[in-house]
Amino acid sequence: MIDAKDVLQGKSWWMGPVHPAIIHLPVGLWSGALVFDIIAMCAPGNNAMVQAAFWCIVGGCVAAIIAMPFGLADWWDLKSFERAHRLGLYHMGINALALIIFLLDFALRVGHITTATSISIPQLIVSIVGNIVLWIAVLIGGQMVFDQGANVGRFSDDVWRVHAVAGGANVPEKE
Amino acid sequence: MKRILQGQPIRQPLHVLLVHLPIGLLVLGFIVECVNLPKAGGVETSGTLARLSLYLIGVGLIGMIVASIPGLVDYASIRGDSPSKRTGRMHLWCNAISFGLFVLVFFLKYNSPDKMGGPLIPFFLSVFGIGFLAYAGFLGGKMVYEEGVGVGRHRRNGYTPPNTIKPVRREDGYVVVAKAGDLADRQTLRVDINGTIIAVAYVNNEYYAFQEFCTHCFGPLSEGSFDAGKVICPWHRSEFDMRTGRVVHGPAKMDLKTFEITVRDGLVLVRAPREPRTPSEMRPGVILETQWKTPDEKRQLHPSAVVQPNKTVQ
Repeated sequence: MIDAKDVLQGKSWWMGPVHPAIIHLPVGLWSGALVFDIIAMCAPGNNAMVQAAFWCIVGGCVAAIIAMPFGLADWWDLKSFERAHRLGLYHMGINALALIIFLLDFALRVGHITTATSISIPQLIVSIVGNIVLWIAVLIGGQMVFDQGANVGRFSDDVWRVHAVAGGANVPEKE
Repeated sequence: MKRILQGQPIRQPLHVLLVHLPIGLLVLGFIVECVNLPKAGGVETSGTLARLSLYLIGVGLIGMIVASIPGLVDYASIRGDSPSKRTGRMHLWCNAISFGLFVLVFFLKYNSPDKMGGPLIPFFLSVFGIGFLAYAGFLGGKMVYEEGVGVGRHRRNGYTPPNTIKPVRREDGYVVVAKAGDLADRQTLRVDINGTIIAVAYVNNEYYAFQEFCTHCFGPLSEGSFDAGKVICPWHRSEFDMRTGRVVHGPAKMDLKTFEITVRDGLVLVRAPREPRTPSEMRPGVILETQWKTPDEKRQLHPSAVVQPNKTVQ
């Protein structure tokens, strides 16, 4: 039977964590939305620039929702890493908040997207706040990987075991 | 400067944070182009969509340039004989190709942003551009999650052994790993003695030698950090007593192998773990060669520490 959690964790089909691969999209796009907002603020009168920011927000929301179940599946197996597990909880909550903020941003813009040629102050503020919240969550996510080692070495057992065994090192039991 | 580019203050590699923007924007730029494609017949050219992808790609390209700088710094600090060096080089080339393709797309569009519907060339170029970008991203993920590049690096100030040294076993059963006094405090060496890979650490005027691979997930202990006679694995923070090899703190459950290390005649000697078994394991020639580079002072091993080939290796 196919275990949904294994599929979401990328076991056997991807052999790597899927969540970090997907989150480039929401993080990149929501940050990009702010970049386009700022350009549109500095040089108003261009509907395409306003649309660029808008579609970045839309794409970011869609991708963030897609990334969620993958992240949840990765977090599920972190229970033995107490600190990473707790960081994961913060990461999850703060990202949910970021998603809500950008959905609000979407709602502020959706009505007049084909005609708007400039960004209003409330829209810009929501984008800035959303990005601050988002980047806190991103940094926490980075801590989970680069400081706590979440998902690191999970799929590379075979890669390194060969070298360790060849050199007569003490090695853990194979799972 | 190097510390900041490697992301020491934020305790994670800077490169990894900067790549989100170009990946996100270039992918969306590509999606917009796909949406624009049905209009390519020339019946209806959509100026807004064409401009949209132009902007997305433009900002994405700038993001790529910015992200490449800390990326190159990270690449330079990967151990020379690590498989990650190769992965990193492939990652670099794929990104460079992708960058070149998207620059072409950008200029093709820039010249005619409003009637982009016409030529299919930019579309096909960006198909390949996205392909190379995706593969480069995959390799980046492989470096982090399989090979552990950058993981736990901030805890040891970014300095990792630049190469594995391969000293030759002397007749008395020892190998020379360094000249006494040449190692800086907390410096490590990664030593390969006939296939047995050992981490040598010099901490608080004491020398330690223990197996390189952590007994949890095979993390590289020569890139670990130190705390009161303990080595801490860069990956999942397993802690081991460096003298006895005992696990002090999990997740690892099994003790490390340790090796006898002494200073004699001004040389740091490690007891070779075993006799060479096959002729191919008896490497001839002068091998000991560390290229440890610290930014402030170029510490290099004294030439006299280079081991001459043994007359007879049995």
